[in-house]
Amino acid sequence: MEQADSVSSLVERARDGDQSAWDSLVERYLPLVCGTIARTGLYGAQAEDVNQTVWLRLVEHLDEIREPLALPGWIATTARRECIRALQKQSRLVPVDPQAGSTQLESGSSQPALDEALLADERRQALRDGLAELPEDRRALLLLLLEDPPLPYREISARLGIPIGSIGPTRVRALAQLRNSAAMRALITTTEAQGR
Amino acid sequence: MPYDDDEALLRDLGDAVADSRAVTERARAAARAAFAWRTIDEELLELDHDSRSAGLLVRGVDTARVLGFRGREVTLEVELDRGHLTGQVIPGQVCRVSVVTPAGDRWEVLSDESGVFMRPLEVSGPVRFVVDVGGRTRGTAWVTV
Repeated sequence: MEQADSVSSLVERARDGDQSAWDSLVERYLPLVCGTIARTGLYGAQAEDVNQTVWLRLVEHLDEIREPLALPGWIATTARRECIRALQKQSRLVPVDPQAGSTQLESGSSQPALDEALLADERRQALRDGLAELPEDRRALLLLLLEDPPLPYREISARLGIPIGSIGPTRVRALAQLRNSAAMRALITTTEAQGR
Repeated sequence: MPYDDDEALLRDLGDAVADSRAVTERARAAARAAFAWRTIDEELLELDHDSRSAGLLVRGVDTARVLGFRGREVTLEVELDRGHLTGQVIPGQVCRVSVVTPAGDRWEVLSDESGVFMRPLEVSGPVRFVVDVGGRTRGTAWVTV
């Protein structure tokens, strides 16, 4: 699979000490790490510490990556764990009721909730990778359709130089291609393999 | 598999693209610079236990951070508590323990013959511990303290 091959070769070259291969891995997965951190509500120095720790951990583990398809899952899991630790550090500054003991669980941090969040992290990564696989014109159309506030069709038509009437059909084809991208198919393979 | 309908797919794609906007230049620079810490031929002491649980968010009295690292022949226990580092290398022997940050800051301490060491330490952020004993260097996984 093209998807896995390119990640494998980047990992392999990084193992051999190739900084540019490492930088490519960083570009590919930095939105996964930063997005995960932002979603937990961490910011500033704590967010930077978590980001740095995740990448330092990945450097340590380069030699142990056997399955490149599992890499986004590993990164998302490591980022989530470090976020939780950072939140615990933060929470010790919050006065707590001594009667409540030391094992009071925060709501929303149950194991199923965590698994669901990890799955969503991996899905977003697959969507970004899938988007990168599309031809430039289809990718550009999808990005314009995602603008917030939404752009009128005539604006999209003008920017891309395509007739208004072709936007709808192209959108359908682009999304079908995204759904069928190597990245999205790989996501199905890995999640099914893990029985999720 | 999700995404039978285009609207759900487009919505999630929107979230995925938005993650890219959470990327900062500082985050990119730190991620790239992490590669300089690639160490070959140095045994890694893996994180074995951490008082700050990674699984569930537990609220409680968490003044001391206790970390345990494990390698093939050596384990390292450390406790960081209010500006003080205490620890032990097992099996006990005289060794040099260093605390290192990604920026290159370094604090050293020599253990006694039972492997016990202590020193004042004010540090925050990612660190790793490096144990030098009998001419061999072993480094721990990075942890955020």
